[in-house]
Amino acid sequence: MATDEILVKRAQGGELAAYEDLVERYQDRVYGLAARLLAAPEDARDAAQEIFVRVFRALPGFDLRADFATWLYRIATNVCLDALRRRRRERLHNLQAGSDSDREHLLRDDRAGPEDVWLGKERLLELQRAVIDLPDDYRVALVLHHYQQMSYRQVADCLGLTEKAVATRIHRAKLLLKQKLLPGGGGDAL
Amino acid sequence: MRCSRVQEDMSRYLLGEGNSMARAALAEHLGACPVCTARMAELRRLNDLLDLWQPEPAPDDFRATLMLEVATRFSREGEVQHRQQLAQAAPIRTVELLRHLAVAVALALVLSWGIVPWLAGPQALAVTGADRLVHSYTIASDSVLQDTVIIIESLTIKLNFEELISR
Repeated sequence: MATDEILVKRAQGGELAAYEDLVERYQDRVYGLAARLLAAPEDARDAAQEIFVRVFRALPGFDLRADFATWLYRIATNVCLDALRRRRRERLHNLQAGSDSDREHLLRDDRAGPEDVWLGKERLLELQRAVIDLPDDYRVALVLHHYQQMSYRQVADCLGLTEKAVATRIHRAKLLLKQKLLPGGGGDAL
Repeated sequence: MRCSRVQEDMSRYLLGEGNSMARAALAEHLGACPVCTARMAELRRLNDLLDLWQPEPAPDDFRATLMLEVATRFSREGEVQHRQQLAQAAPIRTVELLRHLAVAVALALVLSWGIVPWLAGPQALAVTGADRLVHSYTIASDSVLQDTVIIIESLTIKLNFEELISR
């Protein structure tokens, strides 16, 4: 399998198939990131598409000495944050609508026992709402680290922060989540 | 090691990040601090809870739709860009044309005042001013015409001979 660097080089040379291979390699991760940051599936789809369009446009100027994934996540994060800022008012509305439709969608899926499924899905929705309600800065750091499995160093590179700042944001995000999600949560520290 | 520092680094520690010395110091602190040990247990539970939100794959038609979008958007932009380039190129072509014209005029003057009279021979060099230019041209063009006629005649004869031979 060709490395990112080889694919990027070929894509920079105008080979559309190489760009398509990069899309295939990263589409699930990018879509997953957008879905967790933007909450609504349609917003996530639009954002993921915009991310890859921007990547296509910026690819000729990409410095091959840099890490492609970090660069891609930087673009992805910026697009999602832009979308969040632009749609902040709409988002509040969509979140509510999205939560309701998610709830209906999830409750229709009855592969496991009805009661277990309902409890599990309620728990998941509760978790999703708690993550979505985090301040943007905290949520981005948490999602990149926990869900995209990026190290503190990579998150720091991606967001243009120090590792210490990343550690602080993730710590505070988890404090807030703990207060909402864990029984007896709400202590001063984790 | 302070508890606040330990607790801030716990997420990293759980994922196996950080250098061995820092990890050893953290482990040592956890061994001696029941508060931080309890926080660590809470963090593990929270991480397990976060893992419930499994990654969602991109929709099946995502790549196909994207490639279509890229092709459409960039072919359109490419067309616009091409038009912009053409629009920008037009004044440049005019300027270049004027530049070439200026060079041609300069060369013509040099030829007129220097090389043509020299080619025309001592008769032309004896005349001065505008007369010199006219005279030079007359002599030079006569000379060129004569040479051309000779060359054409020689070619014609040769061709006739070849025609006869072939017959």
